[in-house]
Amino acid sequence: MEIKDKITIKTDFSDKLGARYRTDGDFSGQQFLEDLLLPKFEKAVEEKYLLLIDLDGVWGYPSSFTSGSFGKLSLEKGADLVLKHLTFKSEENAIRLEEIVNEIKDPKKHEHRK
Amino acid sequence: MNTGNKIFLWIGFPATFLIGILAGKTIEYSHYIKWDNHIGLVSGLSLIVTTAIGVMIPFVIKKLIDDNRGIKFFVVEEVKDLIKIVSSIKDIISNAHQKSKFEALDKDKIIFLFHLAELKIGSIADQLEISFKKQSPKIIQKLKDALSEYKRYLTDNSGMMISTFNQVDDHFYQENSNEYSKVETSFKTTIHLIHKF
Repeated sequence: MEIKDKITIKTDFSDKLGARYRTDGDFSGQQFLEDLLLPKFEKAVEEKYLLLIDLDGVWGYPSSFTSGSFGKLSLEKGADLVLKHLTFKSEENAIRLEEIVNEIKDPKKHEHRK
Repeated sequence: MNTGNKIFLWIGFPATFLIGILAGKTIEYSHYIKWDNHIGLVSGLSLIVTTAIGVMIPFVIKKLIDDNRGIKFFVVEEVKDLIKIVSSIKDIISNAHQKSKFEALDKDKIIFLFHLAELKIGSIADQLEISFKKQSPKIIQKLKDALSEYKRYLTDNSGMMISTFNQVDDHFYQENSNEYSKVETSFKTTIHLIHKF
């Protein structure tokens, strides 16, 4: 599958990521999922292409953000479909990338309060 | 076997052999030591080879042990640096507890320190892969799991990431100290495992 769309988290969202829910504060995982990731992901599934997520340039990825965005997406859409249509880039930190992919593969390991 | 050992073997063994021949010739022309003609060529060569091996083995083994010890020491220092990075997180929380104030900047620093810790584990993984390929996956997974567990506690379960979190109370301070202790212990036991390679 071809990459036809891209989200650069640093520039398209924020370089300082927040917690899990909108009610927790700015730039939460829920905000990222609902405003940016989910619409682009659904378009990628519909039109059968890959969505590239650039993870670099961010201060760090709080576990609550990762779980509230990529984990929640995986719970809603299924890990296989998510990994089929999302591809990641992280030249800065390979462990960060691994952590996000693991969260997609096994999202139930964290408690989702909502 | 690294390049140093290869050079040592390629140069060291022929050099020892030549020294053996030289010693043989010296003995041949010496008035004090005489060659016993009853000793066959094979026995003579066997003596030379045995002597050469006896001299070389301690040097080769010592060099291998010294090389391994040096690499292990270096990797252990890297794990100690990792402990320092993670202990900086505990320091930020301790200071905030003392000041009774936790600022947004403290949160940013903690998130960035986790990023630095992840980079350090990546660096340790690259180094272990060169010299201890077989043992590397187990060690790296242990480091990753310990860090990930602490990160999950602090940046998810503890509630520290919520924007209204602006004070480190006694309960949070104690709980974080316990969680930090777990990650620190795990890193320290990894140092013991590296020494056992």
